[in-house]
Amino acid sequence: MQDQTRVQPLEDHHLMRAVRNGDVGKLATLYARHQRPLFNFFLRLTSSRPVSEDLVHDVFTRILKYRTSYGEQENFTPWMYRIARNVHIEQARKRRLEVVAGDPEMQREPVSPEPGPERRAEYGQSVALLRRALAMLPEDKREVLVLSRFQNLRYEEIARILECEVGTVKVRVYRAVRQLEQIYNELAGEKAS
Amino acid sequence: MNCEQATEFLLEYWDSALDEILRRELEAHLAACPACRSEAARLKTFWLRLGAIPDEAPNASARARFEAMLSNFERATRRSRVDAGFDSWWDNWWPKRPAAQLACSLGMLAIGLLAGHALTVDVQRSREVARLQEEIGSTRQLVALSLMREQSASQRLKGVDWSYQIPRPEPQVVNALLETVNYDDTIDVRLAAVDALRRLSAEAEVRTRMASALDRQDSPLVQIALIDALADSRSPEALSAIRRVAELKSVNPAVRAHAESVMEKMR
Repeated sequence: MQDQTRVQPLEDHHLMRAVRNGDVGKLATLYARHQRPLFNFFLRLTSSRPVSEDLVHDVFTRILKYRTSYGEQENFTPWMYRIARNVHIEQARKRRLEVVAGDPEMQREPVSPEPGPERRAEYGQSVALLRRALAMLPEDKREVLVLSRFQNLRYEEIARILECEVGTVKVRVYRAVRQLEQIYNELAGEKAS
Repeated sequence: MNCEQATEFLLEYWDSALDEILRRELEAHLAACPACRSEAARLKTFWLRLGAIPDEAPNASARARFEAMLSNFERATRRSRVDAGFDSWWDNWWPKRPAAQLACSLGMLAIGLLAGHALTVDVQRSREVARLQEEIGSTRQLVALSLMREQSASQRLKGVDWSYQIPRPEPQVVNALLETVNYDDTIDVRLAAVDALRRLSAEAEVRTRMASALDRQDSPLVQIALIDALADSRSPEALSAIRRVAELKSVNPAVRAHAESVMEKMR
């Protein structure tokens, strides 16, 4: 889990209440906290950096536009991800992205933290395969898996975002992992052969 | 715990987020079910491997773009707050419920109609009053003119009295009064006509004709009355008319004395 990006829900709630009540400058703090996780959420869904940056911008524009709909009992992060999800669905309808080969930048193998050229090459190939496998996962499964594995959200929060039961989230994540592993193994087998 | 239930708790088990009781139940199931144990071990490895996909940093331009958007929004909000001052007042004043809005609209329409009606009535009334006053004035002039032509001196006196009730007598009434001064047989009527004309002596036309009337008068009482009436104006025209009377040899000595006295005061 990404503890370094874990936000403080209560503080976020107070900031968003201030934004709702007219102190819109406080949105800059929320942006600073959530821009990166939100960008990576979209990046794992779309495999495109420019599209992901546009989507993050759209999310914060909508937060400003619909700030008065933020309720007293609301929790900022799930509320923001609900907006993010809607923004992504609308964007996906408008554009038919080639998720696998969408962004040449995403085809680049990442720099390995492991020492040694062989280990670095192995790491880079593994991450590139994982990205490709993730991109090939069906949209709904990719979404629940990304929310669970990468966005540092509790299952209760994911259930609120997807508007389903907590148990349903857990089962869906498990099935998504199982299918992703299968895709990954198939890709790895193709690459080996 | 069966195989399906186990799948629900594996993720939290891998993240060490499962409570003690469920963890023991799951571990007991995995120990008893080789298929689940094998799959769980395999998927846990893959789950952890997913963590190798690194986070990426967005371009710095994205933040600049957000800050520009926020800044524009704040400026627009400040502007709209000023514009919204009136709207806010109106929103507070204007009822929210459609029924109340309808009632308020009908109320304002009724007030508008009543005010319009009242104003129209006032204007109409003012016009009617003016018309009635005009009619009364005309009637009074007709009465005065008619009475001044009567045979009876008392009726002609009444006619002269009626002329006082006319604020601005028409030329016909003024002519009738001057003719009365010049030609009426009864001195009392002529004296009454002189008094009636005295209030009009500020008008040059009336004054000129009163001076002519003085020249032709033979009644000392009427001459004295005319001299007093002309003296009010203190005009050169009046003074020369009075002097002419004073210089007449045939004039009554009392009239001459009065004329000289008046001329003395006028100088």
